[in-house]
Amino acid sequence: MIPDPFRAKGLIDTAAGASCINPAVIDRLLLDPLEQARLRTASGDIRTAGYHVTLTLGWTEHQPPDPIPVRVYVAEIAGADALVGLDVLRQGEFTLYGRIGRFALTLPRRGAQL
Amino acid sequence: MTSTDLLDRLEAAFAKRRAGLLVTDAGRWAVFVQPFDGRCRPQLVGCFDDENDACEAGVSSPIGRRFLVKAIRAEDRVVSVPRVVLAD
Repeated sequence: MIPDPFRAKGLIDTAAGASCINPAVIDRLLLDPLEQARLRTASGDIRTAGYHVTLTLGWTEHQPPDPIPVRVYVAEIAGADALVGLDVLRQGEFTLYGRIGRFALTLPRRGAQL
Repeated sequence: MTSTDLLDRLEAAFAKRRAGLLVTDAGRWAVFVQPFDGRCRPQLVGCFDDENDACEAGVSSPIGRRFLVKAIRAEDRVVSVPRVVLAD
């Protein structure tokens, strides 16, 4: 049985080496872990599991970017279902417009040059 | 066998073969599958240049459902996620 895609709230974290998701999302997607891994957090190192998922960012856009296969790690994330880390951001261009408090994230889209 | 036990078993199989894999396939992705017969040890089904190809091989393996996809490195990568704070 393949579960339906899950629409989740994500936080972009330019300090995160990899993307993470909450345990509840793992349960909902009925995923099995692919590896054990170590996360270095503000509180110390924790042992966790890694999963292979496909992320589609910009869900509300008419033409969202291409799905991004990524390895994510389970962690409790306050205020969101997922943490979008550098592993995803490095696939596109992330620009912070500090003076106006906005950012732009451009990710590959099939047929379009980045 | 619990999911965690299975993962431990798969990780142990990789750890045992790591030194040899580093000689032949450093930098690639190893796929170990736990056979449906739980009495059997996890089997290495292949090494792949691309992580997605490795995951596909694990998913499509006929010998078992649970599998491990691991980067072949001398040491496991430690992922830095400062935002995550453990509960007291």
